[in-house]
Amino acid sequence: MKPGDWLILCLALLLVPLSWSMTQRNSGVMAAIEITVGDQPAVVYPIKDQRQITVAGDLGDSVVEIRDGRVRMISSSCNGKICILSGWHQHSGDNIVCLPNKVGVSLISNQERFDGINF
Amino acid sequence: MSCCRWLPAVLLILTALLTACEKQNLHRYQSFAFGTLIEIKIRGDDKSLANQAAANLFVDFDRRHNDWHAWQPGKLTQTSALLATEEWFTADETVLALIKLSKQYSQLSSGLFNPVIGKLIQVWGFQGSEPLTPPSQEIIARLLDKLPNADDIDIDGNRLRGHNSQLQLDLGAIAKGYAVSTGIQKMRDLGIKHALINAGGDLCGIGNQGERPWRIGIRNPSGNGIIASIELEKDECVFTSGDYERYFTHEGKRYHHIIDPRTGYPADQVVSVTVLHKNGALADAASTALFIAGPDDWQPLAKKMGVSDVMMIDKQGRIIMTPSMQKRIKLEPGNKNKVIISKPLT
Repeated sequence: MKPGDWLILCLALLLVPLSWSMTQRNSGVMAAIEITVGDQPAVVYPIKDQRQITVAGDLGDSVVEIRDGRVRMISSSCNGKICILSGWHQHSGDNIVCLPNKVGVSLISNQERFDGINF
Repeated sequence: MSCCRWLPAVLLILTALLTACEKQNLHRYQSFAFGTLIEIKIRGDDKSLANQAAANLFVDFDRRHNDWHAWQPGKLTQTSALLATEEWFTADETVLALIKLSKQYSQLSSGLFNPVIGKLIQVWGFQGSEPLTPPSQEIIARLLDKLPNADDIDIDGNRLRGHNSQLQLDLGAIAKGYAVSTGIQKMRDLGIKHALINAGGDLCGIGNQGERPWRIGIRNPSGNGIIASIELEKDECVFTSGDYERYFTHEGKRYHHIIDPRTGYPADQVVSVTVLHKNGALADAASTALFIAGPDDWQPLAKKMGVSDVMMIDKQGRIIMTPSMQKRIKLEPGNKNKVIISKPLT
């Protein structure tokens, strides 16, 4: 092969992992959650650990669960429990909000598949 | 040394790829305002301008939330009280424009978007934070007997007069859309070219995210992830009215917050309606009106209201959409819902 051919081959080999990496980064899988309580600054939690986070809202405690790369609200001091009934969330750009308790959970990543979720 | 001839091209390609991987100048802000969680994304090099714009918007949203609140004492409740006197009065300028627009859209919607049925919404409990039980049939019948509509408001310049003592403004089906559209305009006036406002799941965007348009996922009403996605063209809003947003369950039956002014009960044929339009206020009001109109009657109403990009999910889980919406929306792979494309809105 000529030197130019070798170069093209090297470039192609370089592009394969790079393209794969970019595809993964654009997959919209969340990397972290951001919990906002009232007017307090948001706090970021990674999702690699399985854990439950208890935060104190206007009405009382809300409990957020992170498991297997997904997040949900499992307990809330509001009556409606709509935030709990909305179930698991896994796409970056999505939110779980308990308005009465003023607790918001935002799913974030470096490269989001969606810039926002409409509902 | 022929490889040297390739070197600039290789470096150029690699540089372009690596640049594409870098995070854009995307600034993100989030706050509870306007009774919901609001997220603002601004793309641009001037971070201080973005900070200033977001801070201004949050203050503005909060002020409007107080001014337009349907039941907490403020400008709107004062206006409702004055309308109920059935005498002419000079309206506060902070509510006048929105009332004028609400009347216009209510007429376009044949009254299905009704901005003056605050008393009906109130008895259902959706003006408090936690509704628990449905009102009795007697209460609903009594309210329906003299139910006001937007035509009961006379408008003469900045003066208003009511014609129905039951008039009570509740602009919940338009206020957020109007506020978000106005917010977008304010950012544009500040020189911001690329921004996205997400107000509790309703969004308006200008410009783009960088190398691509703003990309919005539409949540599956069943609660199972995303059902579709859409890329916003320049200056567009996407609004959805859904029966899952606010509701309560009583004796095994679910009651949601979108009340049909013709029956006094929650509209029960549809799960969600998504409208794409440049005007957030219109998209907001239209999504409510088309939800109430239901699967059989929404098309003439959509045409009358001037919205052409509509997606409706009915109680059977069927996805009904206009041909123009079909061109814009991308259903998620593996969608099992039946898809029906309506006739063009001629």
